[in-house]
Amino acid sequence: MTLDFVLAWEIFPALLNGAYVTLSVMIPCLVFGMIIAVPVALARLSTNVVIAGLAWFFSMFFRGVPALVLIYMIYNGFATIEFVRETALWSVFSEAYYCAVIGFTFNHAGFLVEILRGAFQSVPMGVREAAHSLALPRHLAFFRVTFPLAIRYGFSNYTNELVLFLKGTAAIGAITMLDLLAVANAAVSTTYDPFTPLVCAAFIYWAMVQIVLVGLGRIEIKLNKHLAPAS
Amino acid sequence: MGVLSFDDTGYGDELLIGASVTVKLAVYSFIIAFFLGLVLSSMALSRNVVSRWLWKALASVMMGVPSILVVFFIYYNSSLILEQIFGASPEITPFIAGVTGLAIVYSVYVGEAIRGAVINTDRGQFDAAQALGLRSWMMWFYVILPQVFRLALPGLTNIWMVVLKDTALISMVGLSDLVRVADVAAAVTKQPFIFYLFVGFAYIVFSSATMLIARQIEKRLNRGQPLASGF
Repeated sequence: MTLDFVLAWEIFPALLNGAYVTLSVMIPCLVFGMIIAVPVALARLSTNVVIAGLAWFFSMFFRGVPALVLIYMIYNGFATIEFVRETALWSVFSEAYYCAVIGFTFNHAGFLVEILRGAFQSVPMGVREAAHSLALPRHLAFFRVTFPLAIRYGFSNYTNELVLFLKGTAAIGAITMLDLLAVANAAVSTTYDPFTPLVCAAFIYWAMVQIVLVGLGRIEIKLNKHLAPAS
Repeated sequence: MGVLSFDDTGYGDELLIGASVTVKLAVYSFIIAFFLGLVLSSMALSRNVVSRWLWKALASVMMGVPSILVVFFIYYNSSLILEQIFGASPEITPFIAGVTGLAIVYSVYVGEAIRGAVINTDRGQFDAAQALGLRSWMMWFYVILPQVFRLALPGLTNIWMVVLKDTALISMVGLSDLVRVADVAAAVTKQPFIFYLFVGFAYIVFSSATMLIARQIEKRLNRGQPLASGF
């Protein structure tokens, strides 16, 4: 029940490799998730009941279903569809990596939609009216006024989601991906040391989370400079 | 839908048992997390520097590490730890490891929610309780905590939702919960979509049901509160 430093030193490169796999799944999801989430969030705020309803269902479904179930569905499910197996789609759905990215992209997008919706809604009406009274065209009012302010309002929620998402990726081990947790578990069974590999993996996860928190915290302070107490 | 029937050929009964395991896991974890969280919040609010420092360290670790990693850690290590302390240990099943791990991780989130709510409780309530000569425990149980729950409830509801969805991960330790049963059924029947969609919607139904209950509790706790304008 003690930390075996020799073993820790030996498995650390493998664990870092696992952390690399974790990040390689996570980073594309952040990009694709945002690309999907912005239009869905706008649809969610639409006055058209059908569009708003569909967008609501999208976010409700992907927030409600555990990410693990989603990636199982994609990884095990699409392989049974003959159409998928016989077309170029098979090269996507036969790879655990792509399945993990697709599953987590939608999972992440579901949460992003709600964060963005909240952020757009917290932009004060007066600011939008001011943009309107300056006769800014709608797209300029959105990109120059509403959107930059929404980013500021939604930022701390985004930071929280990013941390939860980073930790949530630990599920990809279930579909044969050798991510940080899976590498640690493999080390447990090969070295018969149940303690050291998991503690090392926990440390790496913790360090990654701290980097996200500190990094995005810095950006948030910059974004809200005007709110800082006078020094 | 023959595969979901309740006879020997269908998986309806197995899924129902799996669902009961999932619900039990979530409920036990949340109840234990709640009481642990109460204790932790008193640590967080303590005047003692050491206990506040301990709280900060624990919160940082538990919020920075995936819950499934904590569950794996407990699954592999707890019997060794218990044997070293007590000389004997009960068998640590995946269920026990799951409940313990989720309870420990989410107790920190509960502690944080309650700490925030206590800080946001009107200072005058403390003063008034003291002015009436209430003993410290009476002040907490009759005056402060009932008001704290009103403020902490939205946060606690969120935590419950996250705990519920995190139970899906415990199948990775080998627990025969809803996800594991569906996974087996999908592999045997070669009809994965039916089972994974069933599980997905089961999770959505669980969380929507608790959402409704939470709203009722919120209504009851908010009785007598002046409504904020605009609601």
